[in-house]
Amino acid sequence: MDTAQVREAKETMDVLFEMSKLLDTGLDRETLAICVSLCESGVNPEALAAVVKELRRESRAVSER
Amino acid sequence: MPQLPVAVVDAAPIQRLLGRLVTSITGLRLDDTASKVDAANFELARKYASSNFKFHRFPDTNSHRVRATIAGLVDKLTIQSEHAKAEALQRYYGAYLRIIEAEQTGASSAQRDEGFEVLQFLISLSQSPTHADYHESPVARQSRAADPSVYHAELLAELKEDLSEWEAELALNDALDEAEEAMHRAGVDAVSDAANAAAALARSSSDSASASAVAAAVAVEENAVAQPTQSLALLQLLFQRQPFLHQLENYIVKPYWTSSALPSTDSRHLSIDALQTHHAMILPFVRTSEHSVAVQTRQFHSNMAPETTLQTWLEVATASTGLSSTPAHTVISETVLLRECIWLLLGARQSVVFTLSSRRFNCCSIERLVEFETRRSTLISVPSVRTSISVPHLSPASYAAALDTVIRLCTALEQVRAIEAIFGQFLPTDSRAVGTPAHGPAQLPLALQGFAEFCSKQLRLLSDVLIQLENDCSTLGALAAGETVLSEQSATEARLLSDTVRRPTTFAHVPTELDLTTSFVAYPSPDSKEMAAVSMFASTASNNHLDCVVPNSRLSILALDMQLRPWIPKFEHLAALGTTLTGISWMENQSHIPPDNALEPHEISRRLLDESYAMLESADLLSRSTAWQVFVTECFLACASPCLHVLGTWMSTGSVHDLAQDMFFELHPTVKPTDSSFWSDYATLRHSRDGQSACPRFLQGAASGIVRCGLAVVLSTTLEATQSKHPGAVADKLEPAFLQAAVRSMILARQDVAGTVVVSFETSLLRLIQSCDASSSTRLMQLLRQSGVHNRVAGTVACDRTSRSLTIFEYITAVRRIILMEAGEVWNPVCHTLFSLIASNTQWRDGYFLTGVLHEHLPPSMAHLASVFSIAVSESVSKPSRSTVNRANVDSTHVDVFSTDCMEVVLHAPWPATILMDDNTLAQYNRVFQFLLRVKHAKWALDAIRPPRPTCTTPPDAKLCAKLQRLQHLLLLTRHKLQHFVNAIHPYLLTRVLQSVSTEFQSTMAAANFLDDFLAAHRDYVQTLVDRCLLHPQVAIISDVIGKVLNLALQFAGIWVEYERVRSLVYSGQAAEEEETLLDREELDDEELLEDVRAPRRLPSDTEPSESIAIASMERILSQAEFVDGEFHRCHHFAVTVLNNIAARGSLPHFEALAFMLRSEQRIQPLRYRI
Repeated sequence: MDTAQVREAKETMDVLFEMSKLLDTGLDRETLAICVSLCESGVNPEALAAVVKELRRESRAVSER
Repeated sequence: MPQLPVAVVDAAPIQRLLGRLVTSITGLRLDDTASKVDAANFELARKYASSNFKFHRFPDTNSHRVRATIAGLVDKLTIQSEHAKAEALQRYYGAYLRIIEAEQTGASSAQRDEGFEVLQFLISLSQSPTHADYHESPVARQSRAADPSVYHAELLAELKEDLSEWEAELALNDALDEAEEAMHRAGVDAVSDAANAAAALARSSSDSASASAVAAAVAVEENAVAQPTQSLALLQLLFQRQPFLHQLENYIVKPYWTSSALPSTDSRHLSIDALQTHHAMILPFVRTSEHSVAVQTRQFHSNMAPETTLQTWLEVATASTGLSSTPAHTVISETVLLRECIWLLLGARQSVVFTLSSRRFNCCSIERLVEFETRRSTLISVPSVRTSISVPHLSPASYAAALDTVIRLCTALEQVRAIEAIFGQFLPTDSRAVGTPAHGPAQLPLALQGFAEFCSKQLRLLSDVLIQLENDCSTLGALAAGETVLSEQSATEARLLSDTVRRPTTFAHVPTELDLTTSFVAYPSPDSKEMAAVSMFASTASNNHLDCVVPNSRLSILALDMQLRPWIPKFEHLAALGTTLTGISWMENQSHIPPDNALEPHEISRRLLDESYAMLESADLLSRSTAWQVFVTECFLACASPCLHVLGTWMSTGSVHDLAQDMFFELHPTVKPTDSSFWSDYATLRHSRDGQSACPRFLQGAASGIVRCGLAVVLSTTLEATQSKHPGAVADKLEPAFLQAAVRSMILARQDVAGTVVVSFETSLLRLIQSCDASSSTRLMQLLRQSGVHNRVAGTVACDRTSRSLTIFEYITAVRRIILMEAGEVWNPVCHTLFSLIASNTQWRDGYFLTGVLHEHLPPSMAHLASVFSIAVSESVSKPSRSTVNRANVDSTHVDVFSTDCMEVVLHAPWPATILMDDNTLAQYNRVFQFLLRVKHAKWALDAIRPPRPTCTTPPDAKLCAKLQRLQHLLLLTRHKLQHFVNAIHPYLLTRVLQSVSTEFQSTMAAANFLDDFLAAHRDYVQTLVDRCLLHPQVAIISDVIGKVLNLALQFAGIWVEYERVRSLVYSGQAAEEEETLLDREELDDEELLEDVRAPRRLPSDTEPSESIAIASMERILSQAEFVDGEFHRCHHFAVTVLNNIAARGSLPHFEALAFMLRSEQRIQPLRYRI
């Protein structure tokens, strides 16, 4: 990958990660990167957010059991 | 961000990403190590997500909504004082917008929402931004400090291999270009030297020597403040090879950063002319270096505590020998001037620019209060400006104008400091509340305490501002403001070559940059050479691989003037208050204190409060700035709040902490609360020597009320204490004058300050009355009545449920039983007698007779009410015009239902019942009474109608008898309809009106403890009764219709009497008549009188029945009954319609039950009277 593109992508990720923390989404950097990739692939962002919430909820329920 | 159209999205990458997402969130994996359950769960989660994505596969991101959401979130964070988070969110949002806008350059308008889906995702996933703890990551902070668009550490570490030599070449070319431009602008030969030096330095930036120098510079810079010698070594290392840098070191760095470079033997004091003719390249540096050499050196930094800094300053200034022998003409830079001003205002006693002369002050006003030990030794400093100082680019006028602000502020500041120093030692410690005794030789007036605290607060605020200015102005502060950072290339080199350096950091810059930039911004100098020098310096620094950012803070003498100017009126105001009002005189070397100037403590407080209040009023009237109004208001509140606190204590507890004796009233504890002179002598107002009241102006309207309120509390407390000591028969021991004072205090306190104080006092008085025996209670009541305030106390007595005498509660109960006719055992015989007399057309309008009947039927339990209630009959009664029925077809002997409206019940209640039962209230009660009487009259008349018993006598004419039976049937049907209507009205009045309203009233009365509440509850009760009895003007139309129906009932009763007469004619049997009469008598014992009065109207038994007469009479009865039936149906239909509409609107909900009870009759049609 071109160096400029790498730097640009990293810069974008940094910004998005800071915004993610500000918005209290609870996403780590890796998950955020995956979600951004999914959004760029055309996934509906609200559906993606709903899926993330549901997966979190189920995971929490399974761990509590 | 690139986004593929939905139609061509490849599912495989999404599935792969989805698997990673599931693993990342849930921890489930789909590999060899995963269990079957985990694998199944993983597949389940992935399928769920896939189906969800497929179902919502069409993107619906709206950039406008996202922007609005982010903006709203920023506002919300700002409102909740999360300024850091708001600023960070706005900054990162802007950075992200810049990124996506850069990617969308040239994109069509349809693609404008690209990039917002990620934001939409984050917003949808957002939980609670306002409550989340946010800590900015170090990487982001570093990048922000340098440039938001540059990401240093990690990115450069990754890309270090890609940074090739072309970057060094590019930097070299840029440096050369800038140097050439600078040469062209400056047009001096020295520029070429500087440019060459810069180019050489840039050229060597990639070699190891330069890199190590930079790394060392960065490493040393971190400790530059604590280790100035290291900074010097750094600069030496950096600049050692260049002649230009050598000059910089000698003239700037060394003198400023080391204390060893104190006044040198070859120091010169250049005049302005000499400076202007100096070389442009050297000029800025020389200015500072000359000043530094000539004046002094300073060892401080921005992080030093103010006290430490001040101490250091004083030590250095004292140790410096150059201060006492200031040369004839000294040129200083603007930065030095700024710092001189700031240090002067911070309290420095020695200065280069200013001279300070000390003056003694006398504090004659508080001489009587305190033995002020420091009075003779305390000095205030009066600053003045040395005439031998000049700043190069400031004209003398500008210089004087700039320093005038400082002098004015310093003068006022010194006075306020002195005031704060005098009075501050007498202030209470922080652990105690204001107004409580303080340590010290004596107590200051409370207003003065508040004023001293306010002065101290203002001094602290100004000190904070000055310290901040000093930080900005100091060397490191200026560098921090300059945002001088290493370039990316330098940072890379630093990272590569030094393991100790973790991040690009601020580089210690030459301190003259601030002088150059800020001075010319604030006061643009016409000297083009200096401007050229500035540009040259900036370009040179740039070529040194230092990104010289223009400082954001334009710190200059003008900026200092603008920051300090708002403080001048504040401190002058405080100084004026402190000097003229408290009697402090700023007289130099005056040891004699005129005794006349001594002020009493209360006079000091009054003058202080009056003056601060006048300032508050004038600030409001003159519409000065909001900041000034806030300041004046705060000053007034600070002075007044201790006094108000003491007054609040006085009004709530009856005690005064007047240790300084500065309140506007004084107490005389020798006067006991049981004394007759308590009210007038216990608390007296203070006055000054000139006879002026000591009460502050803003309290003059409420002064007497405040005193009376406190007196009431003292009385209340005394009552409680007396009662607890001597329960029972307390009133015998109380002096009448004391009771008078108590009552008077209660009334006056009620007028002035209503509230808990009065309630407490009334409660105490009530308990006192309860504890009295009969004679004392009577004497107390007489006393209260004589005092003219018996109404209030009567309310208290009325609320006393345990009193042995007849209370207002009992009167109210009696009124309900008599006037509202709740006593059925009384009113049944009375009504029967009354209505019988009315039916017999006998004279009944006799009040004595009716009162006698009423008293005769009073049960023994209510015998005591015989003297209270009577019935009066008025001669003229106005009947409602609309209720007058058409009596064309009615017998002239018919009785109107409104005829009883001339009756009214009179209540002869003694005081205090008359407080409640006044004439108006009784009139309202009587309206209800008359309405009830009408309904009962109609009901009695309809109840008296009963079908005749079958007779054994054979009728002479079967046909006539059949007609008679048919007529009777029709009449009974009409009677049933009328009775249904009246029977609906009557229980409605009894249950829905009288019973329910009385229940509400009783609950309200139970909660009422005072006469006002009691009166209000009773007033509401009577008004509710009137309204629900359809006597309100708004429902007068329904009342008229009901009255008409009641009248029809009485008419029908007369028709029925006529029918019975005809029937007796038809049967014409004496036996039958006698038999019927006997049966009636057996069944109706109570109606003997009625039968007696009916008898005269019957035909004589010896009258021969005539068929023709009977038929004519039947026809007449038929027409009359048909008329009554038709009228009733019209009235009924109208009443039901109106009531239904009212009930449907819901405005008068109590009519709903009445409408429901009357509704069942609606479908019945008028009868067809054909026989």
